[in-house]
Amino acid sequence: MLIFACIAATVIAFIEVSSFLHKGDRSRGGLSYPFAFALLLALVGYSYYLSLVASIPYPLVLAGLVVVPGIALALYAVRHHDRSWSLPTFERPGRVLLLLVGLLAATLPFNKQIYRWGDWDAWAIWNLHAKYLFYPEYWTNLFTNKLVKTHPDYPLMLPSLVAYMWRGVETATPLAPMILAHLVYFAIPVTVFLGLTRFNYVFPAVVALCVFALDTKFIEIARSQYSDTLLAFFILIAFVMYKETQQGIDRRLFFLLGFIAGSTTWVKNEGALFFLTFSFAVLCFHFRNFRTILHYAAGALLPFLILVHFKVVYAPANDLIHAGRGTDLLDLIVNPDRYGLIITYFFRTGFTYYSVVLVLLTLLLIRKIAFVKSLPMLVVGLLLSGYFVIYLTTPNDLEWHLSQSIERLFHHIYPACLYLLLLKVSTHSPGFKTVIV
Amino acid sequence: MRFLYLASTVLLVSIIWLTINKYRDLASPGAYTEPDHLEELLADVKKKLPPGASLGMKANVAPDRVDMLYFKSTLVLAPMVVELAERDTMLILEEPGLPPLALDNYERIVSGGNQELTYRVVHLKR
Repeated sequence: MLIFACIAATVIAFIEVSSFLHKGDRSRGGLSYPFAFALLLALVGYSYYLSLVASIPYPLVLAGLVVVPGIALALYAVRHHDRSWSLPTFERPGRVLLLLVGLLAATLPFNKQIYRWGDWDAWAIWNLHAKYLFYPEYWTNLFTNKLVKTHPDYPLMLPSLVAYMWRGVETATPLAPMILAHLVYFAIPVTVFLGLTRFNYVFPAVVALCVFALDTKFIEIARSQYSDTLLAFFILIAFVMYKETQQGIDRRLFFLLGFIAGSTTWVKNEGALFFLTFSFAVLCFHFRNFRTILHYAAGALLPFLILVHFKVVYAPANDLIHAGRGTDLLDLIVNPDRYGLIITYFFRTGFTYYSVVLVLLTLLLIRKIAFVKSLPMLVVGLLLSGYFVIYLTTPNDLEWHLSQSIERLFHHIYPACLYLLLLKVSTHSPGFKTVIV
Repeated sequence: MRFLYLASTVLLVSIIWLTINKYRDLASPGAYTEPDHLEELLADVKKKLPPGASLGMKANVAPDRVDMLYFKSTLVLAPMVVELAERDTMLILEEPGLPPLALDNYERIVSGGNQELTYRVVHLKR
């Protein structure tokens, strides 16, 4: 019985959030769905965590998921005298057909590769954490030094989502994390496609679909059931939403942008670096508009408070930040061999797995398209610098650390970079614009 | 226009059908991976020990394999707390072909196994 309540509450909440977003800017069309999906993931993740903290019964979490977006919709209706109710629509069926062909092509390799419980980190960290969150009476067992090898300081978005699904079906089935990985994997090409076709850039959108469907590294990381693809999705949504703010139609978007950017901190610790750099860039580019900054900060407040609560009350110290080092840090920083090794790994990984991004960058340079003085470029540049500093100061063996994580760090920004570069190339190529399909 | 709607519906149904079939395969015992086999193996441990129990773990296998078995058995036994160290209550996992671990001061609570892996839960003698 609970499973039906869980499915019904989740679907109703998704419809409510989609409708809420659609009211703000109807020209956005189907792009409101990926936004709604990201917002719903964040809402479910936070609701489930808060229900554990406050010992709230699961049925009340389901009720809250329906009631909270419902209240937001009602408030909007009263404030804007808009009592109509509608969902985002896809105006052009030809584009839907293209998208579905791309999704079918992406489904085949993903289905071939996915298996129960996923790769090492999936069962050693993410699903393991979810298993503790599945038991509301014992979930704090996770935060003991005895389990330090499973990194209990890692944020809880993915484990909360998995545990939420497990509570719905009342058993810890491995199908739940697989379904979640599948949905997030689908959401990325859908977001990029809709983000580009929203401006009638159909050809670049099809190129993006082909890249995602054929990219074995992207599929390999997505099907591993790690939280890296979830983080990549939130980072992508942040950039697509930022682009939407430039349209100037939906004034709520900076609030939602703050919420999405803040929510990356709840997915992975690397999300905190993204949130810092993104917020810094927003501040730099919009410091003259106090209202915009205020909206962004208000949106980011809840994710920030929840993260602080988790880190202060429950999470043990992080192994990279609290390694108890002092003088040896200077030795690491002044060692030129470390710089060489990191640069080598950066280039090798870029050329081996993310050559599409490099090709697009080259195209921008050849066509002398200015892209350096933009918010996205500042964020990506600062993020890469941040990754560099993390590797430079890592207490772990540098080569081991690089080999274990650099592909996944690049994976976090890969869909966003693809979207941003295709958008930039398209903006300066009028031939890419089509309204036929 | 009608063709576009029809083709879209066919594609959507194909994606859903392919995915449901895949998940049906993944739900069958033929798709089980090691955590599932450990779940079956350690079912009696979950019955004997309370969910809030805390226990140590040892295995008579290579260090990499010990780590793997540790994480997988922690996943299976959660919300119990399993620690890769010697404690009053211990979970001992052993591969039958390798020399067994000697634990003289402990008494057995529950044991079992199959051809690939055996287990013992032992407690320090009073």
